Amino acid sequence: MSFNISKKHIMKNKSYIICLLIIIFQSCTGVLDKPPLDTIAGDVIWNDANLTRAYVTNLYTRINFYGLDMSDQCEDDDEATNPSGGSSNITTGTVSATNEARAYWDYTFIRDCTFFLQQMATSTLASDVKNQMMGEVRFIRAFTYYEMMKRYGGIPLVDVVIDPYAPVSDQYTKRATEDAIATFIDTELTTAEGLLSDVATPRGKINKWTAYALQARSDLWAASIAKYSTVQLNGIVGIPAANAATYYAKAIVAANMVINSGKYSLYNPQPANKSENYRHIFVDKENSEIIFEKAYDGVNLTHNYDVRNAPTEFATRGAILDPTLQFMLTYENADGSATPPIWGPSALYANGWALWAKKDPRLLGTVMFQGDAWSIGTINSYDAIDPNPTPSYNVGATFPGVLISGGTLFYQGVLSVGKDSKYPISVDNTLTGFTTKKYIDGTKYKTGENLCSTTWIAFRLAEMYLIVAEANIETGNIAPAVAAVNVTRNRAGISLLDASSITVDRVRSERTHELAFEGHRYWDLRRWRIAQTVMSGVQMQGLHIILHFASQQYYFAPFNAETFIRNYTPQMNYNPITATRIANNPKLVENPLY
Amino acid sequence: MRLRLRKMKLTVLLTFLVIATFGNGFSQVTLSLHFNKANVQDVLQSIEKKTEYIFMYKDDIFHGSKAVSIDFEDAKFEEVLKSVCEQCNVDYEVRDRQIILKEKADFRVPSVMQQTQKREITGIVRDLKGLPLPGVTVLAKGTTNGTITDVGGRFRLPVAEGTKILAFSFIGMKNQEVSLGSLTQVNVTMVEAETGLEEVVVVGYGTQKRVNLTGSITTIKAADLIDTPLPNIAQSIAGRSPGVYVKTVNGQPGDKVNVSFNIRGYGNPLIVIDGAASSADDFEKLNPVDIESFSVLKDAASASIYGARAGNGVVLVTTKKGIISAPKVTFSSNYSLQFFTERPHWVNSEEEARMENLGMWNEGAPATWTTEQIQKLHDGTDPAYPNTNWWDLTVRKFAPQIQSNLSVQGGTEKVKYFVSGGYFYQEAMLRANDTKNKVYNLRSNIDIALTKKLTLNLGLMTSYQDFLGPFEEMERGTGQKHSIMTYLFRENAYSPAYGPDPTKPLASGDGNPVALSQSAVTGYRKNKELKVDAKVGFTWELPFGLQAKALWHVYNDNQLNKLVNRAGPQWAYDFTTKIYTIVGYAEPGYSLVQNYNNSIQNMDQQYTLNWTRKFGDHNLSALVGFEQSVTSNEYFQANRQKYAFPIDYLMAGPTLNETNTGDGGQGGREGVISRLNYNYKGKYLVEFDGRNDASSLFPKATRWGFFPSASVGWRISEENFIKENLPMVSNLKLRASYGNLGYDLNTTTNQFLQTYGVNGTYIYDGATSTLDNGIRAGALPNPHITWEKMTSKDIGLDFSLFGSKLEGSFDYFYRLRSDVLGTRIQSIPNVVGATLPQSNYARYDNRGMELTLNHRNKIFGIEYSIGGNVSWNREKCLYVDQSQFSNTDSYRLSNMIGQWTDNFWGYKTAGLFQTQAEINSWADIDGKRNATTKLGDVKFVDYNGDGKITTADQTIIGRGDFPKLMYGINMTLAYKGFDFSMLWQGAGLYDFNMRNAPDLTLPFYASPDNPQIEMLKNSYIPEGNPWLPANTTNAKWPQFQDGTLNRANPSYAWNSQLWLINGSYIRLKNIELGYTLPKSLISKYGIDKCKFYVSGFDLLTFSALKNVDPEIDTHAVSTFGDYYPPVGTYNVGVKIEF
Repeated sequence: MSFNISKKHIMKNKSYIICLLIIIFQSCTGVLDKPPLDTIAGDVIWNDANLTRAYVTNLYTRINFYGLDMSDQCEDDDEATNPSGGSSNITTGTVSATNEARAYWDYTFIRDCTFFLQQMATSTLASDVKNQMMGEVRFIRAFTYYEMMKRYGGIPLVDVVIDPYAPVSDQYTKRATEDAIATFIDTELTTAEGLLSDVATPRGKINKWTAYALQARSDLWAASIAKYSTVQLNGIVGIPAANAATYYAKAIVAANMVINSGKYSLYNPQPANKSENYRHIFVDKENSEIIFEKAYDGVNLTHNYDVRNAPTEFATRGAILDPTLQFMLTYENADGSATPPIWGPSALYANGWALWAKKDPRLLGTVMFQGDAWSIGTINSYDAIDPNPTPSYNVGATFPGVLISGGTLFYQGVLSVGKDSKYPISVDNTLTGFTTKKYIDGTKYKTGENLCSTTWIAFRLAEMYLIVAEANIETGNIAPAVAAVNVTRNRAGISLLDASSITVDRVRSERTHELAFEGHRYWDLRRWRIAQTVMSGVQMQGLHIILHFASQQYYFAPFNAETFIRNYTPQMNYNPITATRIANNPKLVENPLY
Repeated sequence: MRLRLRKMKLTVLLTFLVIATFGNGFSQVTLSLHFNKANVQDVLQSIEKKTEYIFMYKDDIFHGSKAVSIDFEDAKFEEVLKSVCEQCNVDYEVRDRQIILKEKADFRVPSVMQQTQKREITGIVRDLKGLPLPGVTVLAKGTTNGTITDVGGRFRLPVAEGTKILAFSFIGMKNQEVSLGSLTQVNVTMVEAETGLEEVVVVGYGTQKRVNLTGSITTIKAADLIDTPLPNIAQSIAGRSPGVYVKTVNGQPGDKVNVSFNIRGYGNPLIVIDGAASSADDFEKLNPVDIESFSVLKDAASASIYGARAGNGVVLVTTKKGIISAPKVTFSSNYSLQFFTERPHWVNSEEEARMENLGMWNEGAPATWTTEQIQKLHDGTDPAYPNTNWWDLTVRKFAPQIQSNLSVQGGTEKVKYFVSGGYFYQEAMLRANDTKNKVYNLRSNIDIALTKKLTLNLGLMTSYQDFLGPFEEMERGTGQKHSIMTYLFRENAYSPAYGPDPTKPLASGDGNPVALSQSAVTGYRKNKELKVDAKVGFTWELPFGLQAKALWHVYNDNQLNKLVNRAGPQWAYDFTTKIYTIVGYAEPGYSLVQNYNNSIQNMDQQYTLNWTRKFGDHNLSALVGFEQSVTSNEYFQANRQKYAFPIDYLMAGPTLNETNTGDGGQGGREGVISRLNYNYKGKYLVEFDGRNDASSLFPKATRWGFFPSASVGWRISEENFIKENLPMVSNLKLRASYGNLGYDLNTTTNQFLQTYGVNGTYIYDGATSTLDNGIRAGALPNPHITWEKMTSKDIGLDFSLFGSKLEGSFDYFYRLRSDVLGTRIQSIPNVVGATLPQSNYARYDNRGMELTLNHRNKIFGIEYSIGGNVSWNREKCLYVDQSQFSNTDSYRLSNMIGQWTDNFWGYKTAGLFQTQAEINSWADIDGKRNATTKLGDVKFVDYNGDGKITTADQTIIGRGDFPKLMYGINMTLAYKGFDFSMLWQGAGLYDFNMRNAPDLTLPFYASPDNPQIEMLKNSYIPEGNPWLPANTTNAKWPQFQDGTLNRANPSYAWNSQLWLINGSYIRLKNIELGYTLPKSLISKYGIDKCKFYVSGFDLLTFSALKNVDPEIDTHAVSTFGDYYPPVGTYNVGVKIEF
């Protein structure tokens, strides 16, 4: 068989073939490499300053700002009482290897920080831009390690991006010693300080001084552990006592760097009204005392602190955080005297506040009480009316007895319990008769969910003075300790200390009251190793507030606000590593006594 | 006498084959032909290929003629023909496209003019559908006097006086003989020979003769489907084809996917419509009357040409094309009444109150209802104590549905066309008639011969859906809290729906479904979807038997959805004081408008080159091609809320709290296609297929894959030993295939890329409150991700016996899936700070069998057929990562390797406790020596005999909820103008866990209450209770108490045999009776055919399940209590052809 194709035929077809081939090959390119449209594909971000900044911004949002975001921060010490939630594990001593409280173990966050630092090594961004961001991320990673060290002691020290596809046994990591972690944090922060800008604003951004502030805090922590803890598990928990002095010294140096930077000053615009001046530190945005903060705008970024903690009448929920009577009584009298308040019907006071009139003005800036003028009204937390001509309630007798008390009972047109009182009993009412004032924005009445805009202060200058004071007194340097502790006492308006009156306890007391409800107290008790005495074997008390109707005056009677006796066991000075984490990584060892 | 006709190119596929160009006349056709001493039949075949002419001649006409030599270049057709005929010494006669070759000397053209012919017989030949059949050979039996029907099926044959019988024959049809008597007009209907040995089947990127198939392919012809249209084409396939599993999971009108569809139990198949990959949604929305045929490619041999997407099989859908004929207009219209196939039966209010009291009594609590109140419920005279039948108030018995279509089909040699328009209208079963689903379909398929070698193929489809429904969804979707059906399943009969004012719906229980189903109360949702699908292709005939094709395809799917939510108040009515108060609002309690737009664009291109040659007895064909497709989509949505004015546009709403969002996606694929076919004498068949496929879902290194397959076939019936010894065997073919397939659709996009999503906001400067957005790394990428690999084996036997009266096919298949994406159980330590993504490592296998049998015959003028198919499949897990088993029990319970994947684990049961002694001596169920176990609780069997019931006592008590066995039986009868058909369809080897339907089975499940289904009246009722007669030994279901207690009671809370119900069913899927008016009545009106019919779908069901349709998908909704049940239909319709 033969074929005989004419030339004409081929010529005619050629043009078709060419057209077809052009179409085919033109369309081949790029079809298989489609960038995603619903997410950002890898490599583009590291050479773009805005995208890189956005990555860092995300890391900021994930910093563990222990405080405003916590709904049950109130359990931890003698400040407050609320036996519900995870905090009850701490108040009742039921923390165990399978039941952790206050967990924070976030190696995902650490990986994301380290990944960033790794990417910056090859980024083509300008070095000043890179340095600032690398400094911020080193700070964030150090902060994360600090928060984890506080809980667990020594933890695996991971400062490289581990290849997840490497043999699993290679990925298992031992716990480093607590000392190694503390040293790592200190070194990292020194590196960060070299990278970061010394411009102190805006307050939400990490700068050189932020790094010093954390360094001071972390080194003070390490110093306390060295001084007060026992080294166990070959140093995985506990720091050798020999290192204490070094860490205290480092803390003093770092804190003084902040103090002496000239970038910050103690907030003091109302020196005549010490209580209000103190209260405004926490509601006056971007004030000169703030070193590092997490800001909220009340619209896009909000929290619920006010909703949960303002008195019942002023918030939709309210009064979760209730200061205890024990805590109130630890406040010094402003004049240095030691006169305690008098309980019972024998002592009538014009209003609730009169009971505490002699106290440190910071108490009124921190706690709300019967008769406090607040928002558009007055706090009414009395929980009974005494109708008798002479006050007749026998403190300790069955309540109400001779008193009138009930959510719907009236006496001569007056409700027998105040709207902010502990009656009717519910989680939304104070359990002690007190509620917190610090951080609550008094301009907002009936605050709704997700509308609060108060700034959470992570570091402020007062803490730096207190670090200097504590580190010095612990190392026996009396003069600088006195100078530092009097800075905050002076601003607070209470009697100043001198070399003869200063003690470790008074420095700690000053720290407790200056920094009350700012997320320090529980951890301070742990690092001083006194939690097992302060938080164990005690029953937290509140105060009955009784209106003597005839005189329109008040008298007061302590009562047990908590139905149980606090129990804090020694192993709780460290969180458990937990069985789950050990199963996941057999090289981890559990903390002592769990 | 046997006539030998060359193959009739009548199928639509013709358009893809050889097309020659014709002018108005015969003489304008030109062709080039070169043969040297060739066999005359080869020459004729070659001419047929190059033109549209068909030669017809008797076997022996060329006896003694020599070899033919011709050499023409662009010569006139007539010239060529003359030359060939002269060399062979034959005459020719041209009738339309047929060229009849006659012996020169002996054969005389019959002519009316001849004196010996006394009469002329005329008539029309049609097929079963009433379409005229051109090209049918009509012979006076016993003579050589014959003719061939024309395009209109008409013939005119002068016959000699004394001719008694006319014989009609046509390839693919059964021969027919008609006694003439004194007739002068003879109209004949030809019946297809069922095997259609010459039938051409659509395969991947081409067509093939059925006899030459070596793969496992099932075809369904449109002729079986279209007379009674269904809203959903996939539904009408159910039961018709072995290995094709179709379940109607839901009857909801609108955009829900109603059908679960898979092949051999594998999962979602690839759907290809007219050569372009398509979606399941497109498939469901096809206008049924536009469909010409389905081909289901089941094994590797037939599917591997689709590469990495073909692992679960491929469904090829071909729509109708134009044919050479006068315009043929078809109008069909169908009116249906939908009804729920199952309506749960609830107790009345009195019974419900008694049951509630009984629950309290069992619990030892005071009765909820006093005797007086129960009496009032019984009397039903006090409106405050009604007996509300929520189902009857919310749901009607029937809802209408209308489907109408108009199509024109026809064409000339130059232009062939098929154009159709369809309209579909459907209402929901809700009594509040606020749901209107309208679908408009337009399709045009046009083939234009540009030159004699080049054809342009155009296909344009648009479908527009306009859906309007109440705001509250009928069925609960993923992540939604409730729906109309949820509320409907939870309303109490003793709660009134309305007080005296019909405009004020009462709040009751979870919500008032009567009110919620009304747009006036809740608002509405409006979905508009426009799909446009355009295809342009060229078919180009090249020398050497080559044919080139190109296809470009553009697809756009644009969805515009709008949600308008009204704050419909819900009222409380005090029947004593006659006062209405608003006690709540439907939904969020404020107005809301949401607009949502999603737009999908796909573009494909395909280039193929086909080559077909015959070398003596060796037949060869080959195909190579390239394909590329690009897909993308983008969506956005915007919301505003708390409208001050009743204007439901976004712009009219407050900007406070307005929200919007949007994103998109894209992907691309490329594939190189190849196929080689060889057969020797049509007896020994071999095929190789392969595809090189790449997808943007995978990284460069693992992107390209090669998917080869090979298959062989042996047509035993062509062997002489069969032909000689077993003449009743008309076809017997053994075939086997082996090959590799892939499946990439379990992979989501970008899994190999490190991606970053917008995440978190932060304020650096508290004074300005300027918000900064963060970005965060997504999950760890898997740089090695690739498709699942599948190795598929299939062995099959096709047979056709007794002149195609009995036909059948059997297949056994096995498929091994490897590299299936799985989660690695070995977790990496969390200090790594990441979790491993899924990786390709798991292995599963499937096996199964399929059998089809069909019988067709005609007795006493009755045409009938009966057929059936049955298929079975099951899947086993071969390897997945498993953690170490701590003991033999946990190994027995949790080991998956080597196990069937559908095993259902639970406790065996031994009835209910009837005496306290039984409880005391029974194995410990509650861990408290049965202290909390009550009379009427379930006796769980202590499988391991350790005296206590623990998880270790679970065993395999049933199978999963997807049927492993499916079958269909169909019957047709035709007598004179009547036709009748019936399709039964069934499934088996699966179980329903009724615990998945707590709304139906858990007493007082919902808050605050739940009405009880009648089956629970058969619960255990202890003796001595004051509320209901004791029902102890007869009781089927456990004792019940308060809802919370029931939920905690192992009798209700544990998976056990008690709640497992065999899902097997058989149902009358379709039944139809039609009548075609006699031609004599209608032809004077110019109507070719007019058929009326009545039919029904899902009219009868036999199943152990009560209150639940056996086809619903228990995975489709979170708890399958609140589904919109599948609907059946009664239909009447008409189909008219002009």
